[in-house]
Amino acid sequence: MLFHLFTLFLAASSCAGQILYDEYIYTPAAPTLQHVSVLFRHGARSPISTYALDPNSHPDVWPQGLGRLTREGLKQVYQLGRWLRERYSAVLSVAWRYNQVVVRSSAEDRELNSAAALSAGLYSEYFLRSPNERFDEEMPWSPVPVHSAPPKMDMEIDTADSCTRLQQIEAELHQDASVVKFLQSINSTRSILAAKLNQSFDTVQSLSFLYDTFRVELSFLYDTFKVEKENNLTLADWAEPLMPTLDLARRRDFQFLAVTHEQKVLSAGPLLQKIVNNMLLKHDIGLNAVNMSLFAVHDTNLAVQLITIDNYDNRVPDYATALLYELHRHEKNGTYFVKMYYHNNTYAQSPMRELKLTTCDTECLLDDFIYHVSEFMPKDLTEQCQILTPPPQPSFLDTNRTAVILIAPFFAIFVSAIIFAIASKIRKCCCLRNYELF
Amino acid sequence: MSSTAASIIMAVNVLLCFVFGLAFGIEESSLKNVHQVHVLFRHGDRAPVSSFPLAPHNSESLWPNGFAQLTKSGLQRQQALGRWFRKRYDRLLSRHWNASQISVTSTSVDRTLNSAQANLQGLYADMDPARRFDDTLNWSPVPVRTTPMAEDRLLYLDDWCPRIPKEVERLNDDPVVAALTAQCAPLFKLLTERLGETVESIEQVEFAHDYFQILLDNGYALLFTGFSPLLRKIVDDMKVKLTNAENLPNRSIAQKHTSGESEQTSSTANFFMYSGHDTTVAANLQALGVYNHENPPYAATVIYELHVVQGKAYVQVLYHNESSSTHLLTLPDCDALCPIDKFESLLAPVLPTDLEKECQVPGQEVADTHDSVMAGLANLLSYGVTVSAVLLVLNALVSLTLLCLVWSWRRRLKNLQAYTLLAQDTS
Repeated sequence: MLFHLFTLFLAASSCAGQILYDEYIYTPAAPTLQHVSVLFRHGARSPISTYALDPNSHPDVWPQGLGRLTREGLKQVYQLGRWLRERYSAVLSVAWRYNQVVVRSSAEDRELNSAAALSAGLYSEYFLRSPNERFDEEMPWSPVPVHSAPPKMDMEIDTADSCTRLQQIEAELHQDASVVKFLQSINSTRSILAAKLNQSFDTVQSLSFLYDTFRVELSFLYDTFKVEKENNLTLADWAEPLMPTLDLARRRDFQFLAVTHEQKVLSAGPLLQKIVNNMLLKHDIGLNAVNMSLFAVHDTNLAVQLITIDNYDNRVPDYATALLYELHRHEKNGTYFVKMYYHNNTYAQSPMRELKLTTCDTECLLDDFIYHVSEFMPKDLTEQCQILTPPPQPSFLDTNRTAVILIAPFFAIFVSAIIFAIASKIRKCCCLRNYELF
Repeated sequence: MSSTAASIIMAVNVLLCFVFGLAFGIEESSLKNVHQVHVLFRHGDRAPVSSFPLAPHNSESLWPNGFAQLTKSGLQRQQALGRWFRKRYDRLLSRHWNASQISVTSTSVDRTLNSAQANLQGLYADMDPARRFDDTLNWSPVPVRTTPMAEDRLLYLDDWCPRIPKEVERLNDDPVVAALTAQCAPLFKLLTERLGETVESIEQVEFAHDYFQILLDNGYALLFTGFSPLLRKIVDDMKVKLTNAENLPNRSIAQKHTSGESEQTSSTANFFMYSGHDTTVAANLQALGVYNHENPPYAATVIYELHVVQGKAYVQVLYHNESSSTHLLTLPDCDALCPIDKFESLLAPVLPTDLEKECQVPGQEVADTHDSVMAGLANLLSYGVTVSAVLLVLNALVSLTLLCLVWSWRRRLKNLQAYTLLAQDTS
């Protein structure tokens, strides 16, 4: 109950859209730090979609287009970059160097731009201090390369589009009885929506439609309302009372991203594998391996990671939140261990949270960490992402081939014998008849 | 004497001014007809890609951003190029990034990715200060798309296309290249001594410029010329733009409302930016048949403009290799303003139709067909057993039917006999 109140409070503060940068609590990482992988969500954006009759769907409301960062969003990730600089300055050079920091992004505009703005924040201090080092004297900025892969080819950080098996599992899950039950439990909301949006939510029997309804209409609708409120826009008058129910639907939607073990392997596994590989590289090579890997991802990718390492608090990741996987080296005995944190940059009120595998300490020895997460590493991702088709029904001949081969000759002999017998009988008859005729 | 000379020079100058003015005027007026532009450029100035053990100044620390990365002047050159694009194509691009207007693609290499970003900063440098996300920054990010090297099918095919290394091998085995290699033995020896690293082939000579120059001077086409997926994309995008825009002139800065998803497939943008390497630019010029055999300098740019004049579509190609000079590139057998259909048909030999297929190493296709034949045979064998079993059953069935037939025939005969007998009775 207390927890719910807390989330309600956070939700309320998100509505106000107030971001208090001055209240940042900078916590430098321990001096034992060797390497960190940062998975961060993009900053505030415009809604992914607007709905028919949305009072806020006019193009002028969102000049940057739908699903794209707002000015506020750019500020948030820029600020996150500055926060990361404070925390990890011990392992970062003043200006970007290719052998220290690698930036990888999912291929959508909001992630690509978030990655660029965050990198700008990460190196802003140096260029602010030393104008002579700028390539343009009037501006404390220098680009940092952001690598990505087209969504259909991305087998590293976001497999939602590239892994067809993942989509198949999700579609199957949404036909689950619990989904139907949940949809029934929120029937009153759905009928209001049906009336207001002039779309039917109930009449179509197809379960795949239920799936669409569930995800696209309810979960995304919540997001659209939420974003509109964040930007101080007036919602349709019927929208406000529906928010708590829609919020439930959105949380449900996120839970469904990683229910089965296979889902975790296919969606969280590839990135987890990359993170572990980076740690091992640092462990093996030391100085020459990169110190920081940045990954610009979606809220879904963050949620899936948190669910997989069993630290998801059922709260959809906020803008510019970051999941930190830190690799440390013990000063005295030289052993390597992993620490994990979840940093919510958007709302300074929420402190940085330390995460922990249920089966390991907060300071988890590298070997133990790898041991515990290895069950989520895909063995052969391309192979495992193939759609499972039900095996073709084997024909009678295929399954009973031996029997057929054994029986067939006897059967043939039997038949031939009968034919022979009958033929001879006919011959007899004919002869007899001939005989009779004559 | 000197006065006549001076007057002649004067006259020539006037004439030149007139001609240039005319040329300038034509170019400027035709810019109003531009509806889509594709620019392919090389990255800006960079540090050496790597060094040699004994070479002078071989420490990476001499380069603030490290080996193979852009230098400060490289970033400046790209920023200047971006500003030049803004001056020339201001009409096609709003002052703030608008996703429906521009598409930016780069090879997945740090220096080309950063070149694109610095270029875009220059392109959008006139942004409204009120829209800055940070007061100190006259910059706002613009997404630069890329594909991992191993999967790149547009700008850098070497890692994905198995035919390319084969072609390099073939070139190296060629008698002319072999002779050149032999001739270069003293150079290799010298380089090996001085650089402290074994140099024994042309490829290993760090001066790639010379390597390509030697090949080209001997009439060897550079790699990639067999197919240019980039040219294919440019022509296709232009055609989509033409079919999608009935009232083209008014659409130039029209705001389209799209979400961030699958934006990269949009062909209706006004401005396409491709950030590549000297080899990418050289191969592109080569594919056009207008390569001057000069290694493209930093930020050298090939520009494809889609003009619409009196309802007819033309492509104009420009080469911009210094921030101040721009050359019109005229395709052999076409005018500077080349009708798009003619442009496409002239380039047909280098436009891939099926890249996957064209990238096959010739020998391997045969292997594939061989494999499929074998697989077919194996299939046939495994089914042989089943087929024979089926035949047996069929045999039995046929026999049974025959049996029934014979049986009924016999009965019928009997009946017929009866009838006949009856008939005989009545008659």
